[in-house]
Amino acid sequence: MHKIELLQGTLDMLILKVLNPRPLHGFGIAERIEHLSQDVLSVGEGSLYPALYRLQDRGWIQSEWGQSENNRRAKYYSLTRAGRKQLETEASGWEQMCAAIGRIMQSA
Amino acid sequence: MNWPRNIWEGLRGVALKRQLDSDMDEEMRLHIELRTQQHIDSGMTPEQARYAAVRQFGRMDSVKDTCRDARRLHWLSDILQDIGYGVRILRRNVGFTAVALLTLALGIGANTAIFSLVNAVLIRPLPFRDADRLVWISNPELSGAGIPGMTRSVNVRDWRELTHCFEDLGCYVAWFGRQQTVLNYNGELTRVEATWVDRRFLKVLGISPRLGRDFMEDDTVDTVILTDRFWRQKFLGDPAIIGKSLTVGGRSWVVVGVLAPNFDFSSVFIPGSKVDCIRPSVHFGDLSDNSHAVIARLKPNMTIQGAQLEMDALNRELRKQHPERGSFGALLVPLREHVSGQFRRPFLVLTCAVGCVLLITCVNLSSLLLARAAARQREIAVRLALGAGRGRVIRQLLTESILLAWGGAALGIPLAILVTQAIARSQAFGIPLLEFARVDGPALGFALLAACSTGLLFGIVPALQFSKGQLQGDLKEAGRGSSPGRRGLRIRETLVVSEVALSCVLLVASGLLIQSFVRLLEVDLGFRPEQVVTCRIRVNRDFTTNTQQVAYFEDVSRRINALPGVESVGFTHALPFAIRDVVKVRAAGETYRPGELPSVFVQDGDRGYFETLRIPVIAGRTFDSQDRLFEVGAPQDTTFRVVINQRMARTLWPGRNAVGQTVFIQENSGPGSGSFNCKVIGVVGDVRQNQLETEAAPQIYLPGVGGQLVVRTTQTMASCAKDLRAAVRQLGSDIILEDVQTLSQMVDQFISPKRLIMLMVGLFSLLAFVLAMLGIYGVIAYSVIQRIPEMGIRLALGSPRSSLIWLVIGKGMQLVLVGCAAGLAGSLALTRVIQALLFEVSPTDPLAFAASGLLVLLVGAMACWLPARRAARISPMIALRCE
Repeated sequence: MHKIELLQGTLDMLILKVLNPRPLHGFGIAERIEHLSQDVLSVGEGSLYPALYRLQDRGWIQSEWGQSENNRRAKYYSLTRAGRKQLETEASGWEQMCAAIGRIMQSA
Repeated sequence: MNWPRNIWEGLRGVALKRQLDSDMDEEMRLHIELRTQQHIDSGMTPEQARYAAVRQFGRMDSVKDTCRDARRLHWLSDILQDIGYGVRILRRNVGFTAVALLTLALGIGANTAIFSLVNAVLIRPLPFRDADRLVWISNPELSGAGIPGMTRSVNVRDWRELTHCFEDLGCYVAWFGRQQTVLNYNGELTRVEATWVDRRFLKVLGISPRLGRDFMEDDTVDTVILTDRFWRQKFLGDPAIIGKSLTVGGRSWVVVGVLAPNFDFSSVFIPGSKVDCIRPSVHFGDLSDNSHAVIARLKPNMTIQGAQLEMDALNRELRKQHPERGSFGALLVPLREHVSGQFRRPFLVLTCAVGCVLLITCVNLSSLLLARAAARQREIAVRLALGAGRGRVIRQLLTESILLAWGGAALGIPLAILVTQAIARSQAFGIPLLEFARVDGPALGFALLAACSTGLLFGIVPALQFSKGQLQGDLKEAGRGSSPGRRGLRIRETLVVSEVALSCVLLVASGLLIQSFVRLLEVDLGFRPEQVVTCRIRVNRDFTTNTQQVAYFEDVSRRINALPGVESVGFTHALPFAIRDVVKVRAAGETYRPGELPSVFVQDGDRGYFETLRIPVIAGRTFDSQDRLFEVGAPQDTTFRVVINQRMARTLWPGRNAVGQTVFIQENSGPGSGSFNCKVIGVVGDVRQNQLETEAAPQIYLPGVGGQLVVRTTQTMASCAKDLRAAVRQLGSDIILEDVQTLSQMVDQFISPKRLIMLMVGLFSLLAFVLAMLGIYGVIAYSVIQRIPEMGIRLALGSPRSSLIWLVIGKGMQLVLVGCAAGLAGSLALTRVIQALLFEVSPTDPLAFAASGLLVLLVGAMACWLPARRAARISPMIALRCE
């Protein structure tokens, strides 16, 4: 399977998106993004964890220790209220951009 | 994120660092385990799966580091870590740290001291309320030779009543402005200097006494307000002094107040002298008191230009109505400008010079840091390899340099305090407000700021240089234990060139200043101040006739003449360089257009005065005891005999013999007002008046006795003073000598501000020069060490040692030559800035340029020769083993 790197700046939005339905731990987030993209997108750990810490620092997500599926202590991340709002903003921005880029690509 | 939370999280980050780190560890371990499991599930062996998971994760330390940075929570612990690490590094390099701290202490200390002086003299508002609304009003009609013209009190009164632009006007007596008298306090005699001000003077300035009250309109002339310093010294700060009466010079003065410590009158208005108290003593309406300095407070929103226009219009009117007041006008300048405007440029030059020193210090440290590249390169390459980001490494290196700079500031601030105190306390420099210079809050802030920017400045180039990640090359190079390549060297060479250029500019500037100072000292003053002792002589005795007065002082003069070592004795009321009156004169038989009467300075003396000061008699004679003393109230037809200087002779009777001519002193130029007939009996040489730099103005000498005693003696001042006092004591108890000093000391006071500037610029350029030469030495010595193996090979192959020396010197001298040329070219452009400070020296004076260039080349060659000699002494075997 040919994997492509994430577009600059989209990782934050994807993290927020996959956390929207339920809390996940770091590996869960990576797996979920890969799974939902049907393994087209790969998330490097080198960018995932810094992004998680960054989002937490901005107050968009929060973390809590819980039990993982293999009964280990795991840190679960969930969206905060500010994070939900941010997700909405980023999603609508993304849609606009996709539409705009699509129009340009089809025009030629 | 808001600040309080940021700080809280930061502190928490420090406190819980271990906890947070282990949390992060656990989280990432779990990630790898889960990933491994995923790989196993897809069919890998456990080892393969684990290997793949770890590989996929990448450098865990690097990820963690990025996480910490991303959280921004660890900034504080990072800084603490950086500081701890920096301190360890600095302690390991004692030699480097000591040199760096020392030069930084000098650089930052000197800058802080100069800032404190500049702040006191030029930046800090004058110690008055809304000081920017205060203006100084001089009389342009009577200004001359750099002395601002004074104003009659009647004009001050009229201005006060008839203008709309001022809130109020105040004045003080500036001509002969100080009364020296003797305080008898509990039987102990103290000399007291009093200044006369008008009763609203303090109100106009907007200051109130710290104790007691201000003058009131009905206060008599025998009320007095003490300065804070005098109050502390004489009365030990006793608040009970208010309301007490003091016996001063036979009168009784009532103390009504004590001035605040930040205003002691003299520091602002008569810098370099001392005033102990102020008295209300201005009588409005007196026409003969052409001696007031006027200060006015503009109404809010009133501009100085607007006020000037109003005053000009009013004065035109007043001159028409009151011709008896003579010529007068008003020139308004901001008070600040009057007080310290003339010191702006000298201090600017001083600031530039001291800034240059700090800049050279920076350049030197930069180049020292680069020289340590060899030692640090490997360490930093290892850190980069272990996953430190470039930004992190730069931050670490900058922390080190800022730490150094703060250390330098910590050492430099006490230095600055000492220097500032010494200068502020010396009172030897006639610069206003200088005595209030302190290393205060703003100065400390300045020092901190200077330290931070210094640290950044000298740290940034090496930091950027080091952190360039050429990992493999660096690790290999450093591992080989040889040079870190040429890239550091190129930058260091550039630094040295700029350092040499900067010090060259400073040397030229100080060379010019020193030259003009020497010229200033060589100026022919028109009199010989050496070996002349002078003192004020006060006689509490009423003379009924002039003859009696003359006879009395002739007796005094005779007795003093008989003292051992005394060559001649004379009297005057106005020594050279003392403020004196300006009058308009008219040569008999000449007609002048209105407003074109020549102004001349008035002074007085007896025969002995010219002898003692060695003022040459050009034609005619000087006074003898038959010449009638000058009196203001003399009858209209009295003829006085006067002596004039050459300049006045040339001005009034060009090409003719002045002796025997008659001149009228127009005390007031209106018709019918007083004018005195004067017959010129002699012409004497010109005496420099107010400033050493300016040629003498026309001067007229009236016959006079008493006032200031001048004595030419072969004795030292101390023994002469002792003899004088003893002789005077025999004359009776009603005669007092005050203020004994040598004439040279008095002259010196006028040179002192220039001396201060010259001394400091000289000192700074010397400092800069030494630093620059150390810089050259460092770079050359370092490049020699780098080339030791090469030298070994050259020697082994039979190259003579002398050619090695030339090789090294040639390399070094290249830098020196380029720097020197750049510096001299820069000086050509920059010395024009100091032109106004120069006296009889052109800003492109070839001597200063040649001497500075030569000095730089010579010492530069020396700095190159020392390492070169060392290089040539290397034994080829040792040199080759270094490889």
